[in-house]
Amino acid sequence: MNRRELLRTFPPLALPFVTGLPSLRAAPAAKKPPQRLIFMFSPNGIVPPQFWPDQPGSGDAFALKPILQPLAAYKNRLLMLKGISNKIRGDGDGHQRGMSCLLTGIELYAGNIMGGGGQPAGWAKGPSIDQVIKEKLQADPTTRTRFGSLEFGVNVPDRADPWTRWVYAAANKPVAPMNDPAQVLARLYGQTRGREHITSILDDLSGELARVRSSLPPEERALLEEHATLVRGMEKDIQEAAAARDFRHKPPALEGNLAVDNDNMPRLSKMQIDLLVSALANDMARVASLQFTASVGGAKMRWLGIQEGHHDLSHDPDLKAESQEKLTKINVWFAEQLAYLAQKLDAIPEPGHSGTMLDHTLIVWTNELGKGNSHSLDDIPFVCLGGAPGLKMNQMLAFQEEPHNRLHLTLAAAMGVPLKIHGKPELCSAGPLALS
Amino acid sequence: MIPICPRLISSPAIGRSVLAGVLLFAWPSLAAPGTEGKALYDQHCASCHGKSGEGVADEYDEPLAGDRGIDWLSRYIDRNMPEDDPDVLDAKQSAQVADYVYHSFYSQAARDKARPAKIDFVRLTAQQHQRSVTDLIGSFRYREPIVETGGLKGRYTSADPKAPLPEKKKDESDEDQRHRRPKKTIERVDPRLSFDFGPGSPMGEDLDASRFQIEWNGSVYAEESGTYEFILKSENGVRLWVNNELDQKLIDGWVSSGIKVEHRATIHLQGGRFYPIRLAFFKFNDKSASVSLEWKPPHRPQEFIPARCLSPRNSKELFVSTAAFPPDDASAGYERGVSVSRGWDDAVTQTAMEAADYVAARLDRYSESKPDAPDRAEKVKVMLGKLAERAFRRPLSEVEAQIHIHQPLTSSPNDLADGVRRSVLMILKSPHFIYPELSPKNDWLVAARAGLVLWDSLPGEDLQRAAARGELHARGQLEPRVRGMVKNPRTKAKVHEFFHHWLHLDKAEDIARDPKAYPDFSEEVAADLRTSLNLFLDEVVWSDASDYRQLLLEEHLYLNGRLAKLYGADLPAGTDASSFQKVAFTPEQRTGVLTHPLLLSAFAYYKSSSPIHRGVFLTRNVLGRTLRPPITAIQFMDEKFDPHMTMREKVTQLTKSDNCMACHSIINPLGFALENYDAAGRFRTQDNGKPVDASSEYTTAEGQTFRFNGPRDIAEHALSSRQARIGFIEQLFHALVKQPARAYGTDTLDRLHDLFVKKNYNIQELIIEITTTTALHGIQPPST
Repeated sequence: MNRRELLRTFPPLALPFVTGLPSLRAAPAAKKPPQRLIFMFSPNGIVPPQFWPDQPGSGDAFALKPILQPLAAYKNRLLMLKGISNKIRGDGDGHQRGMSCLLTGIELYAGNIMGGGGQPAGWAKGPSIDQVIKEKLQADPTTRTRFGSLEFGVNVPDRADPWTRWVYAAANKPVAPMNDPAQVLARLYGQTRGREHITSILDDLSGELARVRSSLPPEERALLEEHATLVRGMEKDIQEAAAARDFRHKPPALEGNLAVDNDNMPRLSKMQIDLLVSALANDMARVASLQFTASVGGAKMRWLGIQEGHHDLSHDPDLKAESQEKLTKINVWFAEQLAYLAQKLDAIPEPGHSGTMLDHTLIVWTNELGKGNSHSLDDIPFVCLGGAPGLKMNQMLAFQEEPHNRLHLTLAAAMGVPLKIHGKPELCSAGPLALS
Repeated sequence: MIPICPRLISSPAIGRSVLAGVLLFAWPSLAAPGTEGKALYDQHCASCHGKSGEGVADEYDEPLAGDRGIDWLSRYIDRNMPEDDPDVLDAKQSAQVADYVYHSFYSQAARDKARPAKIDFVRLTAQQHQRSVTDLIGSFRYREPIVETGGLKGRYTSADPKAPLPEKKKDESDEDQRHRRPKKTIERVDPRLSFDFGPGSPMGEDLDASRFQIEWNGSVYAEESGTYEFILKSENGVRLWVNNELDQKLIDGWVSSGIKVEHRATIHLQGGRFYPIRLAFFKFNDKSASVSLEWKPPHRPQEFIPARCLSPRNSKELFVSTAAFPPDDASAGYERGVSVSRGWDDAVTQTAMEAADYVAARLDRYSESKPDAPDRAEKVKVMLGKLAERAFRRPLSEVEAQIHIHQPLTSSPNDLADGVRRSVLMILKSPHFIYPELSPKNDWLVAARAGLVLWDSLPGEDLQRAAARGELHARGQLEPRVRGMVKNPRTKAKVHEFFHHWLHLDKAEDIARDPKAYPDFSEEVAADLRTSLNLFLDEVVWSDASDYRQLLLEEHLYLNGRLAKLYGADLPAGTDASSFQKVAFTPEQRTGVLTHPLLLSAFAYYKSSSPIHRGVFLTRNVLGRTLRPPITAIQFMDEKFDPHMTMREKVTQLTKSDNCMACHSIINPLGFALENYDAAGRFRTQDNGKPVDASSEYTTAEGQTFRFNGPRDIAEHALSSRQARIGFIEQLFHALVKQPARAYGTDTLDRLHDLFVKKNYNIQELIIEITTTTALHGIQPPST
């Protein structure tokens, strides 16, 4: 390995011309392993008979239906929650409230965005649970990370409205997900990539400066000599920065610039998951969200042989078997994405602790609706995968129309952030749901 | 307040400050230095002034240089020199010393001979660098020149309230039923984006009041370079796009809850260019509707975007780097790229990286390809070839194409966009881009120089094509093309900057006046004055006559309602108080830029006029004389004077000592001639309860004395003075060329001057001549 390859392999950080965030040092080695939380979203409800086990139960009595089959290898780390309702009413149609109240647990403001029914709505009236947890973790030096939370999108439509946003920093403050892997890469590792590119041209640049200098009369060379010194100085800076700092995990290699369009969705999904896992492995955040399209998402999964848009299909009646089959395939594809995420996390040992990253990461896969054609906000699917304190896995629990605000409280507690209330206070009075 | 010269001379060494105190322009002389004078100088003067007038540390360390005439020097030496015993030299000997000093090192001609001015080998200045990159990338998108301004095109759409109602659906509200009527769109040009429709319709009965959409399209013109903040207020749904064709919104407030929200966002824009702008608005059953778009441009308070900066015509997006370059060396009075630094190198790198990402994101657009096209790589290579050729302002050699294009592309074979990034980085970091004069001295270099002189940027396609055909090495070939470039907005932006520099407007920011004495003088007034002056300058410079004399003699001011009130004028009846109108004054009250209230305010104190600031400005910038900074500073402190004194009396008292008067005998008479204007530039006849005395006596460098009574006399004197005209020409030359004028021949300024006078003081003709002359400097026609 020559010097320059070495520079490429250990890309440096922190040259002054790109003033990124100050690189927060990794938190002091904590006694407890870090606990992480990822929310994953897919739209338009699920196909209940192909999704929910026939009975609640654990261990051998917990049997997966077709949609969950891609997760069979992780069955003992799965927890399914049935009977949880989004009980937020008020302005907005089912899809709008399903999305914008999913993590906020509070009503939407009256507004100017007219949906398929109900009253036109605005943004949610409060923060989402992931952002509440993130703020608490960031306030504590032992859990603070560079970003705190990261919001990923896969083919999220380029509109900001109550259908496309589920993460809120505060009332009226939706957070846009990063939809383009190139944008994510730039945000996470931008300085590094720029450094790599510069390193790759420094030799040629020095050579050119030397040739040009010798072509000038001696009395005009001083400026170019100084210039050449600066170029050599930059090379030295990059080497020193490389020696001083390295990432635990190398940034993933992306396959060039990929347009954010429908047909690239499988590749975009893989890239975003790779980046998400990479960011978590480098402890840039403890909280994350991964949003596939949006509420009313209309992905055309032609790679599965499905020409129709997801949302249109979801309106077809239960009796239309062909559509139910396609919807099942679509949901299986989402489950596969979850499986890929779990598998990536499970492949990385937790530094300084036993087990893998998946053991200390809880992924919560959810949806804005229970069922597409009825726009029901009951039986919202919640599939937990991984590990977190207080959650017993390898089972399905069934509740009776419990408000989802109670689940928010449970998840916060599992992240070490005990809360009495999240979202609408009346819906929190019974406290966190017990999931053990 | 603008500290042009807040310090006054206070030194016991009377003689020292005098010879050094006044530096003037050259008068070439052919006489040979006398030997008697040299012997006397060596004996009596050299111990303090140095063997060749270079100065002696701890004695008199300033070089003896200036352009007082020999007679003046002779008189001065006879009276004051040597300092310890002025009587040791008689009048004849003093004249001999003066003759020697003058011809050996004091005069400009002597200095030219001793140390001829040379053209410095320079890099692009920060501004040239940024503009070149902007125009380089912009060259891949054809931009039609925009001439039409006055507002944005608005498209107003709603269900047609006059169309028949469709049949009502089950459970449908009346409102929904009404809105299923066919859509109707009305178009118009809106000069000002500030609307409060209340609960009603924007078009009376022609459009529906409860639900409607508006989309404004067109271009926005950035007068100056820098950060622009856009402020969008509405209680309804709004979106704003500025300078982005990839659909990245600057502001997205599409969702709203009927409560007025203020959205703010900033963007960097390069001056002298139009940028695409689009504003979308919709109302959906909200109780009321309003929308307003303001901006905060560099050096100005927040305001509605003026109609002169809006065009209903579309333009193309432009790359604008966000890198902050360190300021360039301006020690010569103009910016020069004579040094490099770490901060500069970082800014160059950041610009290159941003540009690389920008081009990579627009690969197919610029190369006219498609992501899956089989010839994509080939087309991208061609695109990079054009990019490098435009950046280097000449064709590339084989070796250069290898290093800047082929090698970076092959270094990342699986990622074309990444290869493009590396290539763009290499091109924009290359010395061939950064040092224009590295190019061979041929037609291409002529084009490159013309681009830099007129635009601080790359030459346009027209010039490059002419260079490629080898049609640019002769005056007759170049001049008509330069003539074509002069009226381009890029030239206008650069000439604007020259005037701002000449009139010290870079320092005329944050003018604050004592609110007790000047209750109506606000930040907005200062901004309006800036607009007023710009309108005046543009009118004069870009008219066909382009007459320098008009700059100094014109009797009108551009005023809007706010300014008219403050300056005691009436706008023409029936005109809009927010727009600027030409208002005539008497010749005694206003005379061109000299009495523009912005300058008079900039050269004034918090509470009072400042004859010293005004006098220094007139001495240096209008009469073409140079003043050396005072040796010791004295602060003007108003409270130290008898409160009954006028400003003229205070300044007279403060500067009465002989050594002060060495410079202030020039400064004060000029400043006193402007005492009819208070600290806000309003005309007055009384100061501190006493009548204003604006009369004064002024002595030229040649020793001629003139009697001035007010600013018009100064303006007329400036127009009759060759020195003053040459001073203006030299400043313009330096601002455009960024090299010393004398380096193009010691007679350059004289030649330009004679042409200027012959062409009736036409500023555009002067610009064309400066560009043509300097672009062709040292270019030989190709040998056949």
